Amino acid sequence: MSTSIDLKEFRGAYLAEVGEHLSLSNAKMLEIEDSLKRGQASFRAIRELFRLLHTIKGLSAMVGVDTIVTLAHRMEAILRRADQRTMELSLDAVEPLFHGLRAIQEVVVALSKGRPIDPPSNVLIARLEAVEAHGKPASESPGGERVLDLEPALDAKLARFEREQLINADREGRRVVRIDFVPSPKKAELGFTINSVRERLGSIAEIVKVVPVAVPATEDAPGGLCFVLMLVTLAEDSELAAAVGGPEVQVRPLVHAPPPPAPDPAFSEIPGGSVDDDDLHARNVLRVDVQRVDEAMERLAALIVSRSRLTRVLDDVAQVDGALGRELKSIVEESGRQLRDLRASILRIRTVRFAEILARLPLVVRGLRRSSGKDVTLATDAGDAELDKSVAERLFPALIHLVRNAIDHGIELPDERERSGKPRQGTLTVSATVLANREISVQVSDDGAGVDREAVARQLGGVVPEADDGLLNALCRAGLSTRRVATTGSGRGMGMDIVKKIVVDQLGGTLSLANHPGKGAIFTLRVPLTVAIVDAFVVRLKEDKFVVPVVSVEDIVEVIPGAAVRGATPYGLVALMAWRGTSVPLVELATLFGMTPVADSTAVRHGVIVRRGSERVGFVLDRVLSQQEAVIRPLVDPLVQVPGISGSTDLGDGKSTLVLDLSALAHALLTHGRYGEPN
Amino acid sequence: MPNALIVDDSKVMRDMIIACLRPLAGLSPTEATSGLDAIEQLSLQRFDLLVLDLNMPDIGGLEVIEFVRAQDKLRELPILVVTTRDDQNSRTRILSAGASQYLTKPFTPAEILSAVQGLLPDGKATG
Repeated sequence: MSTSIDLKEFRGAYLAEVGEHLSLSNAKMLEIEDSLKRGQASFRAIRELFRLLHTIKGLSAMVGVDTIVTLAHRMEAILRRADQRTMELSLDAVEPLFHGLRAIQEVVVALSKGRPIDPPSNVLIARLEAVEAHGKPASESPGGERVLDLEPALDAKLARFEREQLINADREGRRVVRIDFVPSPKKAELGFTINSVRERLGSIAEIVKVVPVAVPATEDAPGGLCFVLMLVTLAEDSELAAAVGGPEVQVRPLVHAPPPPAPDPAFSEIPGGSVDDDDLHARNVLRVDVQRVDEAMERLAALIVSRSRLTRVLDDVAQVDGALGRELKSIVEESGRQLRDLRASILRIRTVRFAEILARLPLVVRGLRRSSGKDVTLATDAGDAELDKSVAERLFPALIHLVRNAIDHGIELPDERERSGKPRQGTLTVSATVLANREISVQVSDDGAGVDREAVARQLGGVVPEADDGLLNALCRAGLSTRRVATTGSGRGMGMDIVKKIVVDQLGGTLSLANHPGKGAIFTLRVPLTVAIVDAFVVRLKEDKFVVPVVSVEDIVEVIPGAAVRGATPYGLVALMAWRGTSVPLVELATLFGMTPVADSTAVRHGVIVRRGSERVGFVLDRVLSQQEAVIRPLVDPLVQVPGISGSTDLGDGKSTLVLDLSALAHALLTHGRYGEPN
Repeated sequence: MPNALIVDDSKVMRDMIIACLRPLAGLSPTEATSGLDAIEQLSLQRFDLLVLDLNMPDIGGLEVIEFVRAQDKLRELPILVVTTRDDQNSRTRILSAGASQYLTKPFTPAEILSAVQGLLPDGKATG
């Protein structure tokens, strides 16, 4: 018998799982810190954090990541003490624990990038060791006159904090109930197992405790088992019964108001917390390596290319044989719809809930609160918004920049806020909505001082336009970001050039600002939900075809010879045409690319109007041929990066067709007057 | 063919254990993702071996063992505990609760394999 299993093969899955545990751990830490500040107990959060760290430690030991084992072990020791002595953590312990989580995170990042791992920092280990779990004794059990209506055997299973949770909930007017669930193969077939019951109940109730009880085996209870679920809820009995499998399920109240004094069972030593909502989210979820999804996408891309070829050949066939051609054509059209559906399905696998992305912000805000000395509360609302994982990951750093700016430069210090009649605590709101055109709109708004136009002007050494988009453009100038003056009067320049680069250049979105001096600022960014396959115009320029993503095009116009007014412009451009009440400069695309423009000056040609900020440029080319889906392969090789060319695609003719980034070209023109001139 | 119930809330951990046991061609593994899930499956189906993690979100492994040992029909079920706790106190508690054997993480594939072979009734699985 030979075993050649190398557990290191599990590293990829390991990293993903530890990543999830870490984000939950951070959430628990924030919860613990919050309770501590309000002087409340947080046994549950402490236990859950303990459990998470314990899981991380065990997994790390299996795949041989000793640095994490050491860190998790140290942190666990602090939490165990806090738990076993039924004492609270002291606030002094919070910071080292956060550091510990960050250090684990750093190891995870290093591992995923294939970098070597350092042993844990001695300073951090020493700090963790030094943390004394000295605290105040746990608050006296407020049991008092209320009593749980439970058999003694069940009652003994409850930990003190669970009992308190049930009784407090009753005191606060929520319903505290008990449901008995008897599993059976028949119920399992109908989808009612303890896991699914907990999941369903978890969405309408807080599950405080589940206790398995042996019962005599009967026809109804073939397993001789019953689960007693203890819940806190606002839901109706019928709703609860439905979640457990039917109307015959009994929902019984668990708390009886008056006498006799409650027995005080010893605090259970064995961690046996209860169901956590966050854990429930993870159930029924398939964890897939993004690479595998990308592989499926590649296959699909190849299929789309084949279909384009088929369409092209079919056009020739249709000319030869009408009836057969028509039939073939309808089949191919049908397959086109099917491919679109398939594409949508695959893209849906790649989507992540935006709420998940926003869940990382509280930790960031916490850090900024500490470093800036400002009092800020963060509100996030992502609704049901979902977007492609790759877009989400690219977008996140831009969000961080905006959040950082809002706290560092927007929101005032508490005293200052008070002087201007505002609440001492500032509010930062990040919200997202999905728009009808498959874009997501994300708003970062604060109730701070707004962007200081004068300060921005001073820094740039020039005049800053009155309008908000002019101000935004000024903020996004690269030069501003290099001046790292983190004072409240320094404007809001930090990193805005990066934000713009991500949102506009990388993701093809837009960025806007609504500035309200003295009241706050709202930054809005809009990006497509997906980027891999785009709707594109196929255009002809002389002998060559190019592709232009539809999203970048504002309008397509006919350029009639003689209709354009020749004249000088600030950009050194030569022609202007009237368009929707304004005049738009026209640029010969051929000239930009070093070709000779078309010789026949009488031909009607097409112009593609592209918007860049508040300004527009019309690119003149020979013809817009068609609109179709194109799989964009970005040009990633730094040696072949050309401004204005964002990638290549295959339109079905087996040739590579360049994808034009007219927005970048417009930017180059508007900024430098001429394409290709160096910065 | 002997059935083993592998209980761990971590998917990676379950996958690793199942991979380690793959050389036992006669063994068919079933997974449970929580202590309660394990108890439910044990009540509805016959298993020849329980591989159990202690640290789980709903009820811990120790409670699972106590529950299992209180059932007549499960009194003889071999239980292999896999855990990160390796102090004497935990060891005593785990064994006195009724676990058959105890394996500390990290363990090697060979270690868990030989532990499982030792716990299965003779001739039930061959390597």
